[in-house]
Amino acid sequence: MTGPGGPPVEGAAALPPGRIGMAIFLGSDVMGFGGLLLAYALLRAQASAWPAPSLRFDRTLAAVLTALLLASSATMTAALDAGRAGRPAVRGWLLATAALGGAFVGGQAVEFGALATRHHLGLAADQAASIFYVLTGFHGLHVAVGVVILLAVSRRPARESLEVVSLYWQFVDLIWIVIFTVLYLLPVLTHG
Amino acid sequence: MGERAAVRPWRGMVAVAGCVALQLGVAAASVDARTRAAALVALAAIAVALSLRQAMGGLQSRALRLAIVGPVVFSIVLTVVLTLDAGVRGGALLR
Repeated sequence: MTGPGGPPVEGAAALPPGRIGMAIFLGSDVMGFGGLLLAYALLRAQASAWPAPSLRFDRTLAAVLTALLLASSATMTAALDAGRAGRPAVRGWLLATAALGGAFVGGQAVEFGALATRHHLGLAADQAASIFYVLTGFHGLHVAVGVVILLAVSRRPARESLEVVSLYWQFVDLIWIVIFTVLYLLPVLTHG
Repeated sequence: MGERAAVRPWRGMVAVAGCVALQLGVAAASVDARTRAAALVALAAIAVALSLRQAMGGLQSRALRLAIVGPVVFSIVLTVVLTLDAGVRGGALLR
């Protein structure tokens, strides 16, 4: 590969375009999540009162959803290992990852439904509800898109597609660890 | 080498899961809130660092890793600084 009008660019040919594109996307996506987490932190810091999370959120359900995502991260790793080794098990691992991701989205829908029906908390109920729905919904959207991508890749699991989808899925998982800590665990300390 | 590389990711996954399990334990522990908050944030940071390391293993390029790590660090610093600023202005901190 040559640089624009000149000498060869060292190492440029070694970088697959899919990974470059995904790295750029994830870099910008981090800023999106960062902005939402910043909005949550600012609302929380400036609010004179904040609703007790134990009255609204089911921490057990959130812990189960976290376990599902962590398990999906493990199955994704297994799929990548199988893909790198050329084993046929890769498809099964990808489908297992998609199933766990689908279960996560389903669990989130159950949580949203419970908040709307049992606690009558809509998107515009208060600042805490709004930022909760937006933050977790934005993440849930990422998981749902990831499930669709996983299902598409599982039909013909090429090595490069596996590397890119694995990068995306691990990123979605690690963002959830931050959201779980900030939304479900830390507020318990101030409200009990 | 190949065998070792295949085992390592699983160790990373177990470590991340262990951090999250510890977080649940810390949240329920009967220690003062400030210590628990520090422990929760520290465990989350470890879990995220381990996940990030694992996720970026396949990138094979320092520049691409920086393209992700840079915005992560920037977002964290911005959130911490602006939240502290809002907390001080709102009177929730340094009272």
